[in-house]
Amino acid sequence: MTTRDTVLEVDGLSVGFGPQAPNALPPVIEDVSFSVRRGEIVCLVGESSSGKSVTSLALMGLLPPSARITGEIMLHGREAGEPSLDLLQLSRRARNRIRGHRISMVFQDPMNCLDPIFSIGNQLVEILRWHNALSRVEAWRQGIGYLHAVGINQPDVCMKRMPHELSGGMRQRVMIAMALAGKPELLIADEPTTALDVTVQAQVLDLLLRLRTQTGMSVIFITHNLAVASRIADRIIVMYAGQIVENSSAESFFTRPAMPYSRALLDALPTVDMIRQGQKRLKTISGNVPGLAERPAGCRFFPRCVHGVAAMCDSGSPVLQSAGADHLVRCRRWEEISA
Amino acid sequence: MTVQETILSVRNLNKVYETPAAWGRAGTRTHVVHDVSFDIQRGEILGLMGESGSGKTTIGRLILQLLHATSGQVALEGCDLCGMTTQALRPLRARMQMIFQDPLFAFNPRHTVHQILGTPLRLHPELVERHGPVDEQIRHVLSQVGLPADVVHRYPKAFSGGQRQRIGIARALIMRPSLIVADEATSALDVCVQAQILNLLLDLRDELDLTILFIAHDLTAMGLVCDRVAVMLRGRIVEIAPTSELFSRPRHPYTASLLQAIPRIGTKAMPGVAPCMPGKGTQVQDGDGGCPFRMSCRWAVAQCAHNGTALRLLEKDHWSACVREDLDLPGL
Repeated sequence: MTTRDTVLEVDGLSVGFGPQAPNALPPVIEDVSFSVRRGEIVCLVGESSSGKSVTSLALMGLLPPSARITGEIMLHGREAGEPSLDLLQLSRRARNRIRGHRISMVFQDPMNCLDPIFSIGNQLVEILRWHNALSRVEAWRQGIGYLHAVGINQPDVCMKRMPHELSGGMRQRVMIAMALAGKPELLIADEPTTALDVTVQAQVLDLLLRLRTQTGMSVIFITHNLAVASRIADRIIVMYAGQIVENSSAESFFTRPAMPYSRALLDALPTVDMIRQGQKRLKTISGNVPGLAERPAGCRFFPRCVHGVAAMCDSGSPVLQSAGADHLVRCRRWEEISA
Repeated sequence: MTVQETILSVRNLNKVYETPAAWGRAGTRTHVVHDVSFDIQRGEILGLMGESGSGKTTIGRLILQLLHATSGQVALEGCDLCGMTTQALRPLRARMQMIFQDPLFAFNPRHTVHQILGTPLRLHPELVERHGPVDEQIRHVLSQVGLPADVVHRYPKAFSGGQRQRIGIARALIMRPSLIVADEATSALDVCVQAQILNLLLDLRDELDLTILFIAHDLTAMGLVCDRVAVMLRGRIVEIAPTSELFSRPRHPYTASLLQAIPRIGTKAMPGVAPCMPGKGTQVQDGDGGCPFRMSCRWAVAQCAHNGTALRLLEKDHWSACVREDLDLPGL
């Protein structure tokens, strides 16, 4: 991969919180490495406390100063000559120039992210003028354009509305419009559709796909719902207890999931086929995600895994190994299990 | 089910919010629940599905008498609850319980599990007389929801989301209710935990013959647990049918568009083929007597402007409000 078709490369990212060594807690996320290509939609999938949100906050530089971050987050320029930046080494000011401009983020709950006392137009114009040298009138005109791009019916009316006057789906679109206002190369969307209805969710997913085609931006889409992920993803990264346990092209993932955890996640999802067949009970994974202090020494999924073998899985952390073209899995037994 | 016994009967339920005219501004009337009628039999799980703002939560609250209906009847095991005084309602409240979306906000954070589960029993001493001492009942109900007995001294924040929801269910169960209203009980949970809770609800229903009104916007979960499903749009029920019927052969275009929007594995979304749906710009005026979906419906005919609000029986147990009975709509 040359620099040009990769937007972001994360290498060995670890984030820890709490007291310093010697009584430090283990890191929340550990040795997270992946890359995002230009125009690619990467879905980061995992349960709560798997570390997917911490990963995205680290990319945005939004973790509190007390967080202990190690590793490398390289943001590559679009042109061959443009320098690559290590986001973790940048000063706050340099970081601010990138945030919202080259990487922006959409959060889960759009109500808490809009200021309730300013109109949509007011907030959108502020962002546009922050990123570009624009007059108020010009920014307003462009703002209407962005609202139109995210599929809002009467953008000029919407600009004058207050956040509480909009429905959930509209607010989420406004948030996406604001994230797009800096013309980012990479959009991080943290569970943007979890709070929305199915029909609105379908519209938002549709919108992200369309914007990707139009602008060529890359998207990191964070979700815990694999059905949603399958709808838009080019690549699936599954996280469990702070580690990446599977990293694969979407096609390979949904036809041959290799990690037992991914298979269990797929099984736990109520599917259309089950409704058709009148099946009532879902398969579940016994136990809970291990807490920070109780993570097992070997494979972190071993205590809950139906395929676990005591002598093999409970000691020494397994490494990511190749399970086919463009398919990495953190399981020692994937070949036997798949067979 | 051998003999059908109606636990809950809702008839022509209406809820209107009015803001009075003041300071030169005209008053508004918002009709959030429109002439809703349905029954739930003992041991049945009825799903109430709809988008946000469709009035499904309001109906749940109207049934539990947490809100007062503008008109209509809610009868629990034959006694009409609307119009009862607060005093008269109190003994009846034990017979209908609610499971909330996020139990963390539904519990007092300074109460231990023992206090959370014990308080309802303290308020209804007749249940202690009938079913034994408080501690014993708490132990029993915790084992029913699959929690160890030693959790009683812990506080809500010490539990994971799934465990907390189990406590929420335990609090509802300890009253041995006739009816449980589960309002988005699994929406806030992770996929695996959601599967556990849905299985638990189904197990408890089989074991205790529970009657549940399951309110949600997640269609797949609903298709799995419910016996019958009612689809709501703008405060009206537009279709109600047994689950397999409704999912395989929807008779209302709105239901069909919802089914098309379900994300499923193996089908990649194609830009530009999002299902039709009621957008904000196509709001139909309340109370014009027409179908609330007609502006977004590709099968709409002139008749839809005056008709299409009343449910009609199309075949056994399958009711739909759509006037186009000839439509052959795609199901799942």
